[in-house]
Amino acid sequence: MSLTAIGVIGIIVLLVMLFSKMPVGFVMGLVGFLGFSYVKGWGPGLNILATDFFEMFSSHSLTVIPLFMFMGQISFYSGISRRLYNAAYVLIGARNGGLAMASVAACAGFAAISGSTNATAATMATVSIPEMKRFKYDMGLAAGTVAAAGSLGILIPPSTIFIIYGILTEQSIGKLFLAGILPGILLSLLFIAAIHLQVRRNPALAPAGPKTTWTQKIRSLTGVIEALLIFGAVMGGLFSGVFTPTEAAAVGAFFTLLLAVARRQLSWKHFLKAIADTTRLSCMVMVIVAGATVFGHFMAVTRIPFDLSNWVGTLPLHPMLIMMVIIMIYLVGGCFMDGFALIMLTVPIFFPVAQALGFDPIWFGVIIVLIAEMGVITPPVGINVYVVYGVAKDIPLEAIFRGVMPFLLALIVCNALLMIFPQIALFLPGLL
Amino acid sequence: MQVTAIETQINRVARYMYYMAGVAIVAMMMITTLDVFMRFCVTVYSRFGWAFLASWRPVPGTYDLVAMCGAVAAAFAMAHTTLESGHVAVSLVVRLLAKKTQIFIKLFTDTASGFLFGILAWRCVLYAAKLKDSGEVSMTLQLPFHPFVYMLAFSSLIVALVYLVAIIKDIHKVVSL
Repeated sequence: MSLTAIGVIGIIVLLVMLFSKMPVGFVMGLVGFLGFSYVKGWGPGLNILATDFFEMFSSHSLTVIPLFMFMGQISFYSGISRRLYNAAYVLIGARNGGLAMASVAACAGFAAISGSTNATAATMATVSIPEMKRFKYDMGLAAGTVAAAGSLGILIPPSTIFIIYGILTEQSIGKLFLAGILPGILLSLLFIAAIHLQVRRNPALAPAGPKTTWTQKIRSLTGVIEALLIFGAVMGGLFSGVFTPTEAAAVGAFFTLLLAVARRQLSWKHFLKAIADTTRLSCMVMVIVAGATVFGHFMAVTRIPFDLSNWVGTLPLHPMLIMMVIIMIYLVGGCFMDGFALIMLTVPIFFPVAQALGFDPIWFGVIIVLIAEMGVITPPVGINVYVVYGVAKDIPLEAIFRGVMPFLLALIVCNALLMIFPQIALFLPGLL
Repeated sequence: MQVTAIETQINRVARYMYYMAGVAIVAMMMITTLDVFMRFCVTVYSRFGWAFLASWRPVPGTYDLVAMCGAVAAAFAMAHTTLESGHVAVSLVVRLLAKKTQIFIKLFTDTASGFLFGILAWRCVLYAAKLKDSGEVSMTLQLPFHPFVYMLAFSSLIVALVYLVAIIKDIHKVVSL
């Protein structure tokens, strides 16, 4: 059997087993190990399993993941999200759709200290949905807003997806983080525009919120200060080269913890919960990373990524057209799989293709993250939709999926804008 | 069921390991922050020459320590994360199948997972022994790697045992069909 055939069979077996409810990381590890052993013999196959797992687990560059997660969890349990939402609420809540727009703004703010979409969606859902309910918002719009805006968590730095992408493709995490800022702001504005357009067509969807005075507006800004401080310290240190990513994450987590303790906003119980959540989530990520590494080694010995990129490179098609095909593949994949796992699985295959086509690796990273954002809200496995559903059980799932559709359009527009104007992503990293 | 007593023990071990994994994450944060702070002090000393800062030094071997804490955090959390169904899995298709089919699929996936971690445990023991023999140590602290590989072996063994218990339960279910 040719190497390509073995590789293709491996991919098919992987896809079939993925749907058997076996953990994604385990499937990748097992199929990768068996496939590698088939090609290279049992001795090397057995060796690679142990070395890959240990090398990934003890990789210094990956320690940034639990640390940034810890920072996000502490922010979550110490109620920073609530204060961010209150600030946005007072500032823009009084207009039609204002509370939903405030949720987007608060999600963007929380995304600046959290690197995960689920955490951002979960924390904002608990805070903002009850408010929108009180003002008789359409619940599909309310929940859809939070599910979609929660996805900003991985675009606005820090971002677990950027970290993983950076490690996989040997790109600077600092540059990737910088590249996410402008698209993150653009996407937030597009989300707000999506709300505005819906409300203009049907004002009953989102009645006006409470009126607030200028004194209240100015006073509300204090809620933004701590998030701004944390973001400034962490990202400032990282971008100026004072910190490595791991140091930025550790100092950020420590600083957030210090702030929470000083303001007496974190109980011992919540502190322990933050540790427990961080431990579970980072273990989940690390197992996927280790499994994907084993699978990646199997793919490498079958030479599929190289053959594929060579073949695609010679296709008489415009690179943008091929990029669109790649994006479509991601979109379909994102419907069935968790964005993180999908990226771990596919980046080793598609990154060489993108490079062969002459695309900027940082830009490709931003595109990948945008697609992962679509993946977390598209049915049937849009994880953020389930997260929001888990928090606001009385809203039917269909209503939330309907509610995210306008935001999906906004994401597609953002993606198209980035394809036409790559500078949106590349401008800030270019300054570095 | 016969497995209950052993199961309780395994779950307890998994939980204690999970606590240690949590401690490792906090330690990672503390060590790195302390290192950054001390580095800052060194800069301040070189700039202002404050005498009390003269002997303050960054934490030696932070790089190695943090990486090994990361290994402990990931490895020790595996079993408990498995017990809590914390690993990402695609349940979409299986959910649509008949209950009976679901049990058979679960028996298959649990066996496959148990097999993977059994092999991983075994190979880690061999790998650790090899590292011990060759005397491989970390770059700055000269920390030997093999104890950490043994830890990974032990963690994998516990995950394999978690799946063994699950397999026994699955078989009970299959038999009682």
